Amino acid sequence: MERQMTVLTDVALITCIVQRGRGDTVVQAAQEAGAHGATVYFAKGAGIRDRLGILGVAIEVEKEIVNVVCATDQVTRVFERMYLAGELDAPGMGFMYVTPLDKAATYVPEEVVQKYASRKGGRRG
Amino acid sequence: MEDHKIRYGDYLKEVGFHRQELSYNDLNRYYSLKKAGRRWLANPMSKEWLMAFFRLFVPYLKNKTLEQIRCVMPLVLALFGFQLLILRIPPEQSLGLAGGVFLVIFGLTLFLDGLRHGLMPLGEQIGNLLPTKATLFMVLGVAMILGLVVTFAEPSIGAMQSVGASGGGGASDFALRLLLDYPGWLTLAVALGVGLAASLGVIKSVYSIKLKLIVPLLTMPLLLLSTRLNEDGEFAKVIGLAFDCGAATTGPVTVPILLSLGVGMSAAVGRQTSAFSGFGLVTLAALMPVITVLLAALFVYHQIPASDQTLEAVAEVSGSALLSGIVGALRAILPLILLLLILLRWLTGKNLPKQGFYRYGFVLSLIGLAFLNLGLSYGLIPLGAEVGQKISATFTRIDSIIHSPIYSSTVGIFMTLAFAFLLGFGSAMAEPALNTLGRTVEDLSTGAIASKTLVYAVAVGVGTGFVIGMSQILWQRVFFHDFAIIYCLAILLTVVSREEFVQVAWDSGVVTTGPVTVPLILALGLGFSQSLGSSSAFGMVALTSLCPVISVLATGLYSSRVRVQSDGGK
Repeated sequence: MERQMTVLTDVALITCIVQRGRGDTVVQAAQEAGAHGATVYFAKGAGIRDRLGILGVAIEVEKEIVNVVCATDQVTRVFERMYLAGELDAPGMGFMYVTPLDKAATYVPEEVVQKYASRKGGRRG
Repeated sequence: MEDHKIRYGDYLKEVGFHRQELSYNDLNRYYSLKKAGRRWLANPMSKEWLMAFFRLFVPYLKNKTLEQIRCVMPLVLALFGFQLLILRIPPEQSLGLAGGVFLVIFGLTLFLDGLRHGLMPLGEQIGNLLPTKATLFMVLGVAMILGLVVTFAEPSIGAMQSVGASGGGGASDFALRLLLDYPGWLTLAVALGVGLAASLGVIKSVYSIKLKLIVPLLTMPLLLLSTRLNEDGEFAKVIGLAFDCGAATTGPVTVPILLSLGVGMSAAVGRQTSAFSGFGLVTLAALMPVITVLLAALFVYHQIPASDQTLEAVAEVSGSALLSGIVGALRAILPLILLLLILLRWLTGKNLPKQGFYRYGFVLSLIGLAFLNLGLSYGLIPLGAEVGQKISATFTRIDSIIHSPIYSSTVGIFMTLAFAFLLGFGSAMAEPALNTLGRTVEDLSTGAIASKTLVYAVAVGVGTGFVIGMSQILWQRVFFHDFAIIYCLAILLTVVSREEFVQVAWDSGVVTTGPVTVPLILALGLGFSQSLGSSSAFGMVALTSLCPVISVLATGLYSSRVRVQSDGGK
């Protein structure tokens, strides 16, 4: 069988930086809000603790970075859920942003490709 | 009919929660206009500050305390449970003991957090800067001095002394006399050993010498020396003490400082590619003091004629324990802080950056250590000693317990050993350094060595070591004979294992014998040996630090064999 690639459009990347150990709740919230998956990696942060004075002691320098790729239609909802789950409305808890993505690609089930690729004028890679 | 279309995203935007927009440019402008500058929540009495306090600080404190309680609780329950259920005696002054245990938990929590914010980042920074600013000789010198000072700050050595003092029965015992009458000599010898180890560690990371090579090279002569000394009856006990000292030194102050220094240093100099090159330093710090203590003991032994003094100044434990706890903490931490600050000043020409955090860390570790000292002398040590004295009631007659022996000899001994295993296991799990190490190892090996696997392997090792130690007292075996055999086994496993496992295994064995394990095991062992009229319990700590090495190495060998097999199957 000939191999083919389906390029996904209308995707966005949500990046959420939280303290070490809090990534899982954020990922869970993203998934409940409709995101398919997430990638978590470790990092080290700087800056925010100095701003908080003595309260900064409670902030972990070690961070987790959660990457979630989702459809542009979902992005607001997922973004919101992740914000609430990560308690980003408290000082020092984290930071998050959305990056528009040009395109993405992964495994797409054949039936989905069949249905939609033909409708949009047969843009099959 | 035409469809009326709304984007789903727009719909969600409308029904979503309250949201407003702010330009980052505006935010930035606001802070650059304000002279006070970069601080948020500058007014600590404002409503916003209080809100932040409750949302940040309270859960933070709760987590930290819960973590400690989770670690220590099984151990305490085992101790109390043993007294209540098996010996069927209510623990005397149980309220006071519980208070002491609580103090230990509280003190450890504060102390560790203080270290994390104060001494550890400072050590790492110095370790990073040192190689770039100084020659190798200067680095060696600094490492030496740091090793010396760190040892004086180490609470585990003090704990050993106070345990020895509280249980100091056999006055003619040379090992006990060394511990009590010549504490200065002993501490100095240990400090010298740690200092040497720190310098050696620098050399190791600069020339990337493998631990696999160093350990056999260092331990072989050590074993030979011990074998030679073991022939002298008096000296046989000092061997146990020396190995105990080595294992006990590497406690809650030494390990993080040495580790942070080593990690910083090897990042700056080391040619090793392995992420683990910062490891191994701690192992050296446990091996070198054994040699120096043995030598010091030889020296002292020839200085004093035998039996010119009896032990009279045993234990001024009482008095003002609170004051002595605080003074002890001050004496331990202050020189270390000063040294690190002077070093930093010398290296960078600047004072502390981010002063608030460091200061918070220093103060916290001081307070924590004071509480820890207090809790140890009121809680864990008496509790351990009490249980140790009564544990033999399960199989022999003890005057203080009415219906002893409670069980038949075989059942009683089995119960004792089972309890020893549980206790060793529990105290290893309670050891904060072990959990830290487990997490570090998991991070560095990117999950190849799971934290849980390591912690359990170590805990099993500690339990086994404790059982062996207890059985030695029980059957009056010579410490060194068994010890030498186990040591040889460890060296053998070291030679055949991979370098990463070697480093992790030795370090984890050494690290585990910290502020919870050492006093508890020593107190219990001493109490146990006294109740049986046995000679001494030295060597116990050394055994509990050696057995985990074997268990971790064995786990490593097993898991890599399994991996090879499953790879071959594909």
